[in-house]
Amino acid sequence: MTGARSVADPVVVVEGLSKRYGETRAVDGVSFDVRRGEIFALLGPNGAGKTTTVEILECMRTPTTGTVRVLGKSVTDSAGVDSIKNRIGVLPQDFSALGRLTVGENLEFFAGMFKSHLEVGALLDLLEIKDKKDVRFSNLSGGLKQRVGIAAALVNDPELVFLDEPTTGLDPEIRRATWKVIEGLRSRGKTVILTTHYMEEAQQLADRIAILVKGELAALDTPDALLKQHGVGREMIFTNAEDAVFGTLRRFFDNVSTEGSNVVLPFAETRDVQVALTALAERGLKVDMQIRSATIEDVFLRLAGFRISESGEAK
Amino acid sequence: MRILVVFRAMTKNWLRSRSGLFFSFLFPVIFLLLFGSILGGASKPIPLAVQNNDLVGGVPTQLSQSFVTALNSTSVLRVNPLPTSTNVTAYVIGQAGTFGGAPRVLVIPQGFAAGLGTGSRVNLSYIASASDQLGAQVGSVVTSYADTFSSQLGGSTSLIGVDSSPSSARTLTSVDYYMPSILAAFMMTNGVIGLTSIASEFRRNGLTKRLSATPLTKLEWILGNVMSQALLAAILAGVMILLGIVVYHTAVTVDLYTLVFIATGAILFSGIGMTLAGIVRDPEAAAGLGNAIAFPMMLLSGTYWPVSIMPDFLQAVARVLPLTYFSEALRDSMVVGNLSAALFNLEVVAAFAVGFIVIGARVTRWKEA
Repeated sequence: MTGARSVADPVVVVEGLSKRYGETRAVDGVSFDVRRGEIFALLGPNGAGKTTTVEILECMRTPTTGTVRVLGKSVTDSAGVDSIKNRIGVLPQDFSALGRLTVGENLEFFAGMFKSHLEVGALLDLLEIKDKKDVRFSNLSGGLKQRVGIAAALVNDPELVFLDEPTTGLDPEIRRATWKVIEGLRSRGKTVILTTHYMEEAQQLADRIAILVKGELAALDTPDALLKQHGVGREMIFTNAEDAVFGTLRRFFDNVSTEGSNVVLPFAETRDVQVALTALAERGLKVDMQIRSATIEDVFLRLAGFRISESGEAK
Repeated sequence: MRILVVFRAMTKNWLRSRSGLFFSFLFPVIFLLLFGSILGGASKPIPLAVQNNDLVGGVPTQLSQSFVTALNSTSVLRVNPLPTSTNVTAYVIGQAGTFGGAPRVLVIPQGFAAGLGTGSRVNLSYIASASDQLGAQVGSVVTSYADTFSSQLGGSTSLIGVDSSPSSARTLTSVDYYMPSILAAFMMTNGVIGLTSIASEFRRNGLTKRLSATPLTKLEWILGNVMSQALLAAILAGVMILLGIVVYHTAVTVDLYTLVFIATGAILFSGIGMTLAGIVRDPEAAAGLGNAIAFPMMLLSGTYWPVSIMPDFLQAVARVLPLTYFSEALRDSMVVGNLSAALFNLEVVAAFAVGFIVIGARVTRWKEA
């Protein structure tokens, strides 16, 4: 879980972090670190403790127990907080700005919070929103508002950028465009901490993924390593299969299962496909078969025991 | 520096709001025009019946007569003597029953001169109809003259000189009287309703939270908003005074004190706004609470009728409402010309302002739980 602790120059070090609200444990004994220059994803459903965790890192909440150091400073030390706030950028969930101010005016507003900051023109170029400079924030689409939010998070040229659910509610095309922007941050040497409930987003963007379930850290590693450790490899999916298909395969494979009207058979070797198809052919069973590669979603399902809906709810 | 950044952004954001502009500027202007139209802007002396009971051998004492003469020698009031044999209660009822009748009676008690001569407090009785729109303002003028008169008695051996008070030389209209009250009332609603709604909306949409992740401090955020409100109040005052001068040829005094009073009032009502927004999380509930506080305060603070005609328990309430003091401070400074009374009220307003800014800063949450 915390095997990366030995890596030099961590930007964030979290040890035994807990946050309680009365009897509710929003975050429970979480430890991890974040390395300079990586995109680090906190993945989990709504209520898993992702936002609480990043808001503690952003100095916006106080931990109940545990130690948290961001850019070498403690988040509970007031002098440290001042230093951290000058060196981080934050895109909160549902970013909002002053609706009747233009994009340019809003970025000037956020820039004014820092002693030194980037030129607004450069930020508009970076986020490819120069043509929106004089458009009022309230007149922007959701995707453009998020871009302005990312621009506002970069206004002080931060070392560490927090992106809390940066693509929630965006349509797939805009989501992918936003991914490109986030990947661009990595190429500019920024460290990014990203929270998301989108499996694909975590798999696509993150160098490492921390899976949070009910406030606890269920797994932490690179996407490949997570797939290797917890993944199911590949699966044969027999769609709309009759009962005999399951019965036949069960004689050869213990791990066959059903998902609705489908029969699912995880496999590791290509030879297993031949065995399965031959057995079905010998029984005269006609099947419609697809091969599905394992994803982070499969890892999550295995670890958490449930899936996450499009809106981020556990299902 | 960051305070100025907040100030500029908040002001710009407000000035681009059509509804904000309407309720902040246009609505008060419409209100003043309506008031002016209803009451008329004619500059003629306002009648006041005075019953002088301070007689010695059937003749008014010199001191009481001097006071009446002082009241009558201005162009503000036209004193009509009321015989001592007249039953004041019956007179008021009788006058109020006539069309357009608006009886206002000042009763000087027996022992007025003797009391003042020994340095004792003497209570005059002022009676006006609750439905009399000018009753409150006439009451204020009488009070102001009484204050000036008694202070001059205490500070000088001469009883002459009441005529020399600044307001006595002016010709005042009903618009003159009402403008400070209306200005004070709308400054109050801008802070207590307007800023409450805005600040709680910023909290709901996450802007406050986003700003708390920057080096901006809570106090800078509050002071930036307060400065923005102060500017808006100054603009509102400018618009209303200009309107009064152009349309009604008002004769209000606008000087450095006026600006100080307006700035102090803006700080006070912004402090109340930030306090309410800090206490109530939901913007709709915050706006509702703002309304629930603003409107009773407007009605109980002597904006439209004198506090003195209200029942005792409501007068007690009025004495703890900051608008009462702010309204009186503006009236004393801009209309009556009683600077000493205005400064006393200003001190009370400033104390309220400091209190509410401190409370606002405490209840504004800059860090989540």
